[in-house]
Amino acid sequence: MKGIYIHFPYCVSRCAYCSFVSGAPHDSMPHYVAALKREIEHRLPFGEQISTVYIGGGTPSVMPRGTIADVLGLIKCRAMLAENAEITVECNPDSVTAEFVAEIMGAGVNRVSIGLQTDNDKLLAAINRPHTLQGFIRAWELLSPIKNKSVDLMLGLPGQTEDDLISSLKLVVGLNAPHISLYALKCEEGTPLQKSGFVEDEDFEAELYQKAYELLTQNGYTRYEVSNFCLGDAYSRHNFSYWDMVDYYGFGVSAHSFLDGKRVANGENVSKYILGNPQRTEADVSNDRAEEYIMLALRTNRGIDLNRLKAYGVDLLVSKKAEIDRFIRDGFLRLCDGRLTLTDSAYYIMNTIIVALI
Amino acid sequence: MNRLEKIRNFCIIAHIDHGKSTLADRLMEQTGTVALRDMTDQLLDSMDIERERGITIKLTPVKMKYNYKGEEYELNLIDTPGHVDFSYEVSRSLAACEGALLVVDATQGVEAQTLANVYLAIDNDLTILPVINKIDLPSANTEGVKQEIEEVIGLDAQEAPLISAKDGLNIGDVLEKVVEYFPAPRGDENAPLKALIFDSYYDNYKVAVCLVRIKDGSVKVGDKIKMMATGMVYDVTEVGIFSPKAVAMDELKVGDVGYLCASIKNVSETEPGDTITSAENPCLEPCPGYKKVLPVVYCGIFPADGSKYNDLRDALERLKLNDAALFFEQETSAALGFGFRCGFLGLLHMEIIEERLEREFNLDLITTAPSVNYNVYKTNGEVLTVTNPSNLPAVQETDRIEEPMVNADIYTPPEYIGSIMELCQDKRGEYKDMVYLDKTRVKLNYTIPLNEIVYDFFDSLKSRSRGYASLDYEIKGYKESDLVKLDILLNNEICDALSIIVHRDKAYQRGRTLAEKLKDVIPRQQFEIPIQASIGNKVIARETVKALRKDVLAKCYGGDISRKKKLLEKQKEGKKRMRQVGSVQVPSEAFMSVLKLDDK
Repeated sequence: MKGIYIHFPYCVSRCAYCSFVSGAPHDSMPHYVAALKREIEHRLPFGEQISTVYIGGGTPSVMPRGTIADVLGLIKCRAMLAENAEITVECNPDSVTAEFVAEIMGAGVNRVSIGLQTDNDKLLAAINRPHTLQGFIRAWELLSPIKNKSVDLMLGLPGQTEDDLISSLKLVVGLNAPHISLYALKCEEGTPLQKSGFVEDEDFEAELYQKAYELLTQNGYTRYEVSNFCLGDAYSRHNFSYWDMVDYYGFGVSAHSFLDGKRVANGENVSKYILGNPQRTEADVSNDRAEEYIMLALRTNRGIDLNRLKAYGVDLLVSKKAEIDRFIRDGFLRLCDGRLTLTDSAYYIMNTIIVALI
Repeated sequence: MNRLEKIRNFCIIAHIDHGKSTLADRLMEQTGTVALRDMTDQLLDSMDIERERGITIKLTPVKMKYNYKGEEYELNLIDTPGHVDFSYEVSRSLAACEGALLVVDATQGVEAQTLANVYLAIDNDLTILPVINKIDLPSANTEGVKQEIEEVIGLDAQEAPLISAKDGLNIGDVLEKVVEYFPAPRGDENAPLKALIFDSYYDNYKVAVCLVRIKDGSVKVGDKIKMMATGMVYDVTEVGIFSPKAVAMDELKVGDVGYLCASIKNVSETEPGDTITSAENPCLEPCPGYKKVLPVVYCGIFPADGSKYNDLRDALERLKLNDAALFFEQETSAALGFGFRCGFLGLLHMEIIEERLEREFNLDLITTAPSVNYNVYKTNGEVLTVTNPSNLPAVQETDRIEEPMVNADIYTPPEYIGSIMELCQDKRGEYKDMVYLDKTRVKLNYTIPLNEIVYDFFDSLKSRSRGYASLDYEIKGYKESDLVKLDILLNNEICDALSIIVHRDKAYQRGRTLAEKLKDVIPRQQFEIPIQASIGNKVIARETVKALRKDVLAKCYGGDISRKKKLLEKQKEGKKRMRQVGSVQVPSEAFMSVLKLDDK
């Protein structure tokens, strides 16, 4: 079973921190959709078994009505979608309408991810988000027929206080959102945020993260990945498959695929993509399997399955014995049932640990 | 006219950048020694590093043919290194000449090194002809410089050729004056061989090649020769001259400058200043002035990547082939692993070796703070020479320590005197003398511990004088001093590579600066790291590197893991440049950054 990711590079406005491909001019939409469908027809084999579909961007909800149903229809024509397949669409509160909800439900979408980021309208305006808290509540109401919902929140926004973050979390917890993604702001090169001279305060971010973790855990959420929390088993099957090294297709501009040990990436130029030149690159990473697995699996609460890693040719308990012993002694790693997992205090400094293990 | 009458042996002395090598190029061009098309700038400077830095490290003699009033003359130009580190080498090459062209920049005037080299030339009884260069520049002050030469050096500058070496202006004038002004060599062709070695170098085919000036007698292939200082005997396999490439000859005779090969395996057997004579019929007295060259500055050199130790050793051995003054021996550091303790003639020599190792051999190095030779008198009567702080005996076993002192001449425009005197005071200098050379130039004379000079004296001097002050120094004996070993502890473990020997009065300040600096360069790690500076068991400064709180890439978007992978790769690359000191990861830069501490 494989996953599918679909990218729509359109937004009504560009968020200050965003470094993804999202700013394509809206009049190119029909051409883009045509090119996207061509790519799917070209690359997705008939009968391919698919268990998850994730439609992201950009903002898929800004696409003309019918687009999502159209694309999902094409996928269903070609692939064998599992009966309980998870089909997620990302949306921004401002572009959620009754028609949009009707369309996606009709198309079989059973999960939505809503970008809220923060419940403070001033902060929302400051980072150039196109919606307010009220808009989010409205969207939440409209989306109520879809039970499996996720809310995106951010920590470390310019000017965001601890109280701001707690307030946002309490709101989402109060709405009983089954899934919360909590991303630390990363000031990427070339973004308006970076150009404004903003510098991350890593200590403060670490404190905010710790506070958020405590609040969410107390309210019954499980941290199943460093930035992702869920109630019960409402984890994102699709995202989890990335960390579990399941094969997936990525269609659309800048989309990435992982197929048969190869990482395939479409280029970032929308015009070229539309003109049939997706500038696709391919890298054989079959020799990096162990390394990739360590780096991805350690992000999750299931950690590294050491036997699986052995199958990839690395016996970590032998090759990195000294490092693992030291991390266990210092309380950063835990070894239990053949799995190596991060302890609470290690989640936010995992890069140091990953680098020591690869 | 006899043969010697038509030979002139001379050198060019100048301050860095005053145009010595360019003038040499022009002389060769004008005498047709090199065809124009073979000209590369600074032809005599064969190493890249010499061309780039505009300095001469290895000497090259060149023979030029010059027609003067219908007679063919043989002009031997001996290039000289232009830096105080190599002043012994300079003095040996001067001893091979009868005349010296003193190049002075018409825009800069007389500088410290110019004077230092003039004195060396005077010591060697050379006739000195001033040449004023760069007269084409708008800021040239020809008359002022002439006056300065007369007042400061005491040479008649009225006859000085006014040239532009860059543009080839008045070069003929220089050549004529070389013939007219400089004396012909003297010597007895029939006396036993007496040849001065003024340099030597390593050649892949000829092995060690001696550069020689024949003072008496002659030498030819097959002769049995003896090195007077070492007593070693060899058979001559080749003699020749440079024009400018090496050309084999049948014989070198009195007055000649050329090269000599004798199956000598190692350049350390061909010491500059030594005298070559005939093994069968030796001369009575060697050429005066021979001295064994000993390193005065030491530092530890380690490969940044520990697995490159053998590459480093090979590289040092290669450099040593051509540089008898380079000293090295294996050294092991708990922090840095296997490496070498290396000895140098001075700071420039050290820098050059480091740069050549990095550039020509592509090595990433970690070097420890420069150190000097300390004489340590132990309570049990033993006397040790210590160059590595880690080898300093325990305080209770030490009776006293002596450190090398230098006699330092500093030349500066008067407005910086105050600031420079303050610097010298701060560096434990003892004031000796101050002389106004003219309205714009003062010579300060101090006795200063070499230990302070190798630290950051030169940089401070330059920054305090906006680059105008210059320094010349020579070692002048040892003096007892209250020296202590300053250790740095990282997470409570001594990092041997950071230990230094320092005067007790300065230990506190140095310890504090070191700790502060290290706090900035050691990255935060999973735990808090105390950085302490201590003398013996006494902690005198402390800083803390806070524990790392955030090191995570939170988002892996749309299945694109390449960003994260790149970040981790970068982090992993960075880790390779880290050294494990106990439980602490220390970046290579940390070891280097402590070399440049500004005390101000």
